[in-house]
Amino acid sequence: MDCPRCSTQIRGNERNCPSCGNDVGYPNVRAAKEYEEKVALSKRYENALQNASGRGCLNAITEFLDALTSSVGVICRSSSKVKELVSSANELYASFYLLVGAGARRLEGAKMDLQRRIADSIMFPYYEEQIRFATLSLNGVGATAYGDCSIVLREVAISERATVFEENSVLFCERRGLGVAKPLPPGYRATWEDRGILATAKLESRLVPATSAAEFPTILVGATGQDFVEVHIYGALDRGSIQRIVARKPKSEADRILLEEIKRYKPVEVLQ
Amino acid sequence: MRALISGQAGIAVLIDGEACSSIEVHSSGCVPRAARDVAHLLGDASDLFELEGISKDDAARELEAAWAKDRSIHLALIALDREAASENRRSAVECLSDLLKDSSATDFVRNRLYAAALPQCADLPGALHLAGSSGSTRFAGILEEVQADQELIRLNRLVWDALRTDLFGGNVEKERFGFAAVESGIFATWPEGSMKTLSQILIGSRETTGPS
Repeated sequence: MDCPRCSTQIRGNERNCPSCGNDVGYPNVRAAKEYEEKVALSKRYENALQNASGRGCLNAITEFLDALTSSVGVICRSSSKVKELVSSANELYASFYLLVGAGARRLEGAKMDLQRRIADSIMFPYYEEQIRFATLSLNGVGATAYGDCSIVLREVAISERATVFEENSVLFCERRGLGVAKPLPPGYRATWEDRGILATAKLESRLVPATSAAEFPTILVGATGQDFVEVHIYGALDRGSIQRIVARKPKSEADRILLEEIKRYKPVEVLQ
Repeated sequence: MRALISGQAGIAVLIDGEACSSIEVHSSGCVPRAARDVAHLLGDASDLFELEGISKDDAARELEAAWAKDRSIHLALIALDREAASENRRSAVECLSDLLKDSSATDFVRNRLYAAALPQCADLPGALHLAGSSGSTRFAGILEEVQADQELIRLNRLVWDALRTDLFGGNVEKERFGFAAVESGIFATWPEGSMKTLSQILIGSRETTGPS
């Protein structure tokens, strides 16, 4: 694309025009708004509606699509990580985590890191470090295999800078053998506004005429909690980005106490 | 076998050739994992460490210890936080009685509490009272030491913060050194003046060798 203000050509990873500094939008959102992407997604969506109509489950699909308008982005972490995040402005915590944070190390050099890097370079070329990952959820519960606490992100914190993707992006790239010679096919990502369209296009076949609204959250996240719609958020998140926490019942007294403390900062719903 | 362990996440990932699996803390089961899951399981944990040539049982033991350390420092800070609910502060102290039976967790908490002087919002007398009344003798012992050494801790930290980053080769390197110093208990075990001596040694060596 060209900068709308000065006509300089903008690279896919650039957030601001290098010539005039104009804000040209979040790179992931721009990518999802590309004509090819939107046309391909529309086609998938139309096919899904036709299939649903042929199977007599248009009502269920309409209800599903309607429910998705209130879907949220969720990140799953341990109670310890959530406690660290929500109390980061507390002077007591800041004092004792100041030095300790420097010990954080990244996963590096291993196969899992390589797969992530390959997928990231395909999905977010030259801006992968800016992307945070979340899961699309209808009830605030995310991929709990990755942590007992589901951090529900505020709509206002992500709606302008988040996009959604068909599934776990590493898995998607692996399954299709994507790489330098085989780029990402269009139609599998969407803007936050169009998240319902993408999720419906993906999950239409899993709905039947008798599917009730109570089943929608599990259909969206997948029965194993692994087949989720992935949310990509450009830029940093902090405690102000958090709306509430949905936690599994704590397995230890220590984690119960941490959850009680987390309640000082954010609303917590504990699942029974 | 290689293990990636985080007490914060409560997860140990075992890597044996191409195969990955994970152990959850307090659980004996081993869950097979795809390599792509590992970054999600451990990605932003700030206490991640790696052990080579380790058995599953030893990895489980290391995970338990790492978990106890992580939760112990959280609970210690809750106990010290005057803004925390009194019932939760008491629960934290009681829970610490159990977790601090492991001396490595005791050292971990002590080392961290020696990293900086307690801020105004800390209620050390209140925490000491709770520790005394609930019979948490190890935690009480740590608090008494920390209370007695507050001025030393404050001075050591002042000297540390004043050390120029170029003495370490940069800001990140200084942070890493600081982390290692806290981990190893340097801040907790060095007597008065030692941090100042360290700074003189570092400055001296820098002046002799020049910047690298």
